[in-house]
Amino acid sequence: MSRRSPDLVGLAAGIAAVALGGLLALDRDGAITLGAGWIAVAACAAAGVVLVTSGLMDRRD
Amino acid sequence: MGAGDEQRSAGGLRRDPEAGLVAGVLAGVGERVGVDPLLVRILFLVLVVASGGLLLVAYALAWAILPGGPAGEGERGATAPPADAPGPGRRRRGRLALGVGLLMLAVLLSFRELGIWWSDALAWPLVLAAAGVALLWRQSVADGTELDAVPTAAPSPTAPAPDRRRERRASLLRLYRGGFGVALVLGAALLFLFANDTLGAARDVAVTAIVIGVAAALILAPFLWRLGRKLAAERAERIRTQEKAELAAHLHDSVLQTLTLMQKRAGEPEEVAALARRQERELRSWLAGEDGEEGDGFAGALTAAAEQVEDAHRTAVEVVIVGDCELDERGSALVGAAREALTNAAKFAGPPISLYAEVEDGRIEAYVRDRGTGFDPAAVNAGRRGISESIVGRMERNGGSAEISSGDHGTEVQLRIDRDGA
Repeated sequence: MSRRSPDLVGLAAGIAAVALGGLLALDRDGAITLGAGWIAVAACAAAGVVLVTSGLMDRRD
Repeated sequence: MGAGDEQRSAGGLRRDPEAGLVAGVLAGVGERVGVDPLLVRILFLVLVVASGGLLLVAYALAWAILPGGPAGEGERGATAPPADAPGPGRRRRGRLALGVGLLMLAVLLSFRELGIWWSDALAWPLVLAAAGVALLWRQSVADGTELDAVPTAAPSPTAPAPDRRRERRASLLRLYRGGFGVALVLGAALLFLFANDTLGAARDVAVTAIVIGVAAALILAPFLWRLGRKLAAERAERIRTQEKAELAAHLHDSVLQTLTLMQKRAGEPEEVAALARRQERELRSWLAGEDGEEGDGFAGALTAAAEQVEDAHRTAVEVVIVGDCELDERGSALVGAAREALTNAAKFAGPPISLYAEVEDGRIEAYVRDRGTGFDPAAVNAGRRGISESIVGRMERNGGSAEISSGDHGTEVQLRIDRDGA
């Protein structure tokens, strides 16, 4: 029986989305205060992680 | 499309640019989950508003990551990718570069939020200028590599149309990249001036410079246009001359040599008919654009050339070849020159004739020797094209050299050429 390797790009995108959503939820809840600057940092980091993962995975394939 | 794309798309999400309004991400999602794309679009708009626009970033990400085309195209693309599709390596490198750029931007923004920062007026123009310079530098390195790889001969007019389309597309892409790099650097300069409240003064200077530049361009335009046309005409003439010389060398080596042999053997009708048939076959295959050289590589082609001379002149040629390589344009030129030198040795000196060739990492050398009475190369009639065109001219046109030393002990022809890509 063959095992499918996990879709690491999808996994990275999911983790990034969950982390981003978690931050926004905490901000909404008032537990932390995120300014526009920090939201931009989080969005750029999430997008960057997903793109780098995608690029690296393609090279491995 | 990369292998990774195909793997993901086999059971999964793809963009559908044909059915989409922007990049086909939502149309692909609708097709994947079996929902009308219109409903997906409405839901997306609601979510964009609710998330304060953050979902647009996700859309851009999906645009960059998801493979394009309707489901099933991956399988076709695996065997016959469309001519204008970006290569998998380029897509991957583009994603990596964009990803690294975004991560660096995130780090810079973090420093800014933490207060470890000089000033917006300095840092952002520097970031923009660095990106533009990186793009221009990469472009200039790529151009330099391509220039090094330009063949010495004229481009073949019979090159397949997809190759020409790809070349045109690549040149447009280079122009676009170069323009984008210049725009980034100029944008950085303007941003710096604006942020430092000096744009007004700079604007006056810039307007003055632009007006002077336009006036100079109007004055110089006719001269530049004529210069451009002259250079193009000179290049075309140079290419025509080279092609004519190659044609003359080929006809000399094949048709003229065969006609000479036929005259020599006029008393042997069967031999003359065989020579004529062989020449006809060779000429037809040459006119059809087929490679006239036999054998798998350089060594095979050189051996075949020596055998042809042996057959045609009924003489023995001792062949020693050390090493081998693919038969490219330069190798073919050396084989042609060696064949002509062997033919001359068979015609004017007779046995023993030897051919020694050595293929090294960076170059190929060949020596054709005979023990005839020799001749004075400087005294050869200018109308005779064998040495001047078929040997020396052919080697020089292809970036090589030919030296002929002759005396009472015999004649030696030394042929040297650098290998392609070495």
